[in-house]
Amino acid sequence: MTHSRRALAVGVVLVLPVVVGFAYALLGATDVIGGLGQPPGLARIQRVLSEAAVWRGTAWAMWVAVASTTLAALLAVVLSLVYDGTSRTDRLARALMNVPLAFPHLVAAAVGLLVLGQSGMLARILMFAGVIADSAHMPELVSDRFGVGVIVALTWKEAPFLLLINAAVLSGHGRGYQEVARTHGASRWQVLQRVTWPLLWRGMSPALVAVAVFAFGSYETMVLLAPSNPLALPLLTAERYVDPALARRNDAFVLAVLSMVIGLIAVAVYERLRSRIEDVGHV
Amino acid sequence: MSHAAVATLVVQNLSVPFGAKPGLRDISLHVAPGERVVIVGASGVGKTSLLRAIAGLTDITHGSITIGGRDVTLLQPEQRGAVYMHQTPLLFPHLTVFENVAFPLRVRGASAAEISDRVYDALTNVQLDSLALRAPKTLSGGQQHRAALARAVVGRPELLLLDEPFSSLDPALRDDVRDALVTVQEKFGMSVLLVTHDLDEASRLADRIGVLQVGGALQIGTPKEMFETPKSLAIAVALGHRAILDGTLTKQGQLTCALGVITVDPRMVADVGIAPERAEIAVSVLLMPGALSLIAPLLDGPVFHVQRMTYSGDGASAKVQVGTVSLDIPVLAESAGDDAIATCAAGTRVSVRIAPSRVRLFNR
Amino acid sequence: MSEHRRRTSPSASGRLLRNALLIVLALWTLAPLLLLIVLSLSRNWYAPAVWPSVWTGEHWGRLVAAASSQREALLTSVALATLTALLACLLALPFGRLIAQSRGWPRRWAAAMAFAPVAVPPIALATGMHFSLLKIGLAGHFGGVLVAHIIPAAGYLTLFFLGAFSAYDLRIEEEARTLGATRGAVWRRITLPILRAPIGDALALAFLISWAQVPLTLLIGGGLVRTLPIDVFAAIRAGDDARAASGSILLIVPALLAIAGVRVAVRRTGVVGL
Repeated sequence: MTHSRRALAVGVVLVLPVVVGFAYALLGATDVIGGLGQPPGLARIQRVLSEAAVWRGTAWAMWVAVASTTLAALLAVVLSLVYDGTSRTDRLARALMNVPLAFPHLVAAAVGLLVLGQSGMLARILMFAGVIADSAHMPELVSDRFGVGVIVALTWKEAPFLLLINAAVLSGHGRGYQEVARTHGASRWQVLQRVTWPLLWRGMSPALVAVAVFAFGSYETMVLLAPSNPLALPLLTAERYVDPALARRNDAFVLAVLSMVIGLIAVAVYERLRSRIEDVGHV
Repeated sequence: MSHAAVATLVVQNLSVPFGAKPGLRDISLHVAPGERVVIVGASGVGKTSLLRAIAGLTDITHGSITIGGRDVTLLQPEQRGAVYMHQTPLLFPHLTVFENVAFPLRVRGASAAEISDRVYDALTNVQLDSLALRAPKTLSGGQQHRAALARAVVGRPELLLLDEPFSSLDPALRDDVRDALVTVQEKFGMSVLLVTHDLDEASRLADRIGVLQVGGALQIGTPKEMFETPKSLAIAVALGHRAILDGTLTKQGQLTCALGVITVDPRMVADVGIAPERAEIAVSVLLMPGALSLIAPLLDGPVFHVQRMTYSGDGASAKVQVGTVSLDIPVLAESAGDDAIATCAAGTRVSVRIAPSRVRLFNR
Repeated sequence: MSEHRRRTSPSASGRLLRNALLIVLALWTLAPLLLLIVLSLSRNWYAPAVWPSVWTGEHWGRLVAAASSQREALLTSVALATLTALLACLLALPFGRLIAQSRGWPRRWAAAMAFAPVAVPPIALATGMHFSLLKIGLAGHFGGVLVAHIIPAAGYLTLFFLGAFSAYDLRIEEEARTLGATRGAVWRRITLPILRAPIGDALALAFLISWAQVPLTLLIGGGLVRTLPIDVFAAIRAGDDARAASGSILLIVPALLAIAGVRVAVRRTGVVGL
C-alpha cells in the first residue's frame, strides 16, 4: 500500500542520521577511518570491550537509570493515586508537579550540585540546625560511588513526566473501570490491586523504557554529579573522544556503537510495549 | 411502604445533588423481584445520577436505599448486591474475556473450579463461550456488550442497574443484546432497573415504566397505564405523544378543537376539573393512536388537504396540517365505516373524525 | 431532617495526610526554583551561610550589557532554538501526517524509526555524526549545531504530530474536497486552522529541545558555538554559581511559559523529549 510505503520512507529519513552516525562509528571502531596507522580490523573493538572500565561504566549508567526510573515511577504512582480527584488540593498537587518539566536536565543537575554538594544548601541547613558539626560530616551525595546525586536529580526530573502519563490513564476510562470493579464486588484495595495498578503499569511501561534510556544517556546530569570512578559510559565516551593521545580517540567510536546498540534495543522494547497497549486499546 | 417486605429494591425519599443544581429530590420507587423497571426522561434530568446513587457511586444528601431487604444506604458499592453497568461495556483492557467475567468471583475469593463453571455458564448464556480467551479489544461492539452482561450477572446480583445500555449499538445489534439481557435476567431471576431516552426500548422491556422529569418528579406505572392514561401532558410528551391540539371544553362535555366538535365522556370533564362558575375552559387535547380517521369532506365541518402520503409496514397514512400541528392519520381499510376514506393522495380534500374514547384532556 | 452522607469522599485523616504531603511536594518542586532566584540576586554567598548577606542585580545586568559573553550566548541560543523550531516543525508536520495515514507494522516501524534519534544517547549520536559533519565542513559552526539540534527535534515532533493526526479525522478533508475546496484551500482553511494549537505546541517543544541541548552542542560545536546552556555549564564548572543561576532561570522561563504544550506533548507521544 502506498500509505505504508510513504510512512516507511519518512521513518527512513528520520533514522538516517542515526544510521550514518552508526556507520561512521562502526568505521571508526574498526579503524577503517582515523586509525592513525592501525590496520583495519576488530582489534580495537576487542581491546575496548575487554576493558573493565567500560563495563563498569556501562553497568553504573544502567544502575543509575534503573534506580532513578524506579523511584520516579513509585513517586508518580503514589501521587497519581493520592491526588486523582478534581478538588483544589488535587489540582494544586498536579500543577506543582509540572514545575520540573520546565527544567532542562542541565539545570536540574546544577541544582542538585548546589543542594546536595559537600557545602551545598542541604549541608548548610543541617549545620545551621545543628544536625552535623561541619561539612566534613555531610555524607557524600554528589560524585559518590552510588550516584545518589544523579539518581535524585533524575528522579526529580522524570517523575512529573510519568505522573502525566498516569493521570492520562486514570482520567480516560480509568475512573469508569474503577467504578465497574467496585460495583462488581471489589473493595477499594482489590480495585487498586486488580484494576488500577495493572492499568497504570501497562500505560506506564513504554514510558518507563523511554525514561530509563534517557537517564542512561543523560550526559549533562552525569558530568556534573557522577563520580570519576567508575566513569559512566557517556562520560567515558566523551573523554576518549577528546583524549590527547590521538591513538585512543577511535575508542570513543566503539563506545558510541555500544551506546547506540543499547539505545536501539530500548527503542525496540518501547515500540513493542507501546503497540501492545495500542492493540489492547486504552490510553 | 407495603412492597418493602418483598421488593428487591426500595428507594425512599432519595435526594441527589448534581453539582450546584438541586438535582434529584425526594425520589421514591421500588422494583419487585424479577421485575424490569425502565425509567425514561430527557437527557440531563438525572437518570444516570439516580442509578449511580443506588449503586453507591454518588453521594446522596437524603433518603434510604434497600436492596434485597438490606438497608444499603451506608454501604460501599461492592457490598450492595447491585451491579451498575455503564453506557459503554468498559471491559477491563488488561484482562481476557474470561478473566473479565471471572472478576466478580475472583474478588469474592471463589474457588478455581467454581469460577470456571460459572464463567463458562455465564458466557454460554450470552453465546460467547468460544471467545473466552480473546482480548476485549478484539470483540465486536455487540460481543463486548454481551461480555459485559455476562460479567454483570455471573455473581448473581439481586439487581442490575443499566444506564442506556444499548445506546452505542446499531439497531440490529441492539435487539441482539436486548434479547441476551432478557434471557439471562429471566434465567437468573434478578431485577432490572434501566434508564434510557429510547421509548421504543422502554416499551419493549418494561414491566413498569417511569418518567423522570426536570426537578426530579417521578411517575411510574405499567406501560398500559403510562401510555394510555398519562397523568399529565408533560408525561404524555415524555412518552412520545406528539398529536396535541388546543381546545375548549364545556361543562356538558362538548369539546371544540381545530378538527371539529365532539362530545366526550362527562367523567373526563370531572377529571380535568371545570370550576363551577366557569362555562368552559381551555384544554390541551391529546390524540392517542387510533383517535383519528379520515372521512369524506364534511359540508358543515373543517376540511383539510392531504399534504403527503407515507407508506410503511403498518399501512398508509396521510399527513395533514392542522394549525401549527402536523398529524399523521392512518388511512383505514374499507371495513372502517361507510364514510371512511379508503384511498387518497396528496391534495385530496378530507375531514377528520375523532374517536372520543381515544382522546385525553388536560388543563391548559 | 437533612442528613449529610459523603461516603465517596476521603476521611478527615486522609485529608490531613494529603495536605501534609502537598506541603512536602511544594518544597520538592519549588525549592530549586527559589534557590536559583535567590542565588542569582546574591554576591559571595558561601557556606556555611544559609542566607545571602549581599544582594545585587549585577548578574542580571550582565545579560543586558552590550559586550557580555553571556548575552552573546543568550542570543545564539535564541537564534538556534528559533531556527530549530521552524525547520523541525516544517519537516515533522508532513512526516507525522504520513505516518498517521498508515496502519499496522509500517506505522509501528516508522514510529520506531522516528523515536530512534530521540532515544539514542546524544553523546553517542554526536560522536558518530561529528565525522560526517566535519566532512561537509559544518562541525564547529552554527550550521552544524543547527543540523544536530534538528535531528532529535524532528524525530520527537514527528511522534507528536503522529499523535495529533491520529486524533484528527482526515475524512473532514475529503468532505471539504467534495464541497469544492482545492488541495491548497483544504490546507489553508481546514488543516492548518484545526491544527493551530498543536502546531503552536510543536514549535514551543522544538524550541525547548534546542534550548536545553548540551551534549550535541558541546561535541558538534566543539566549544566554538557558545549557547546559553554551554555558558551555564561553564559557569558551574568555574564555580560561578550566581552566573549559573541567572542563566538557569533564563533556561527555565520559556519552558514554564510553554508548560501546557509540554504536557500535551507528553500525553501525545508518551516520550520524554526534554
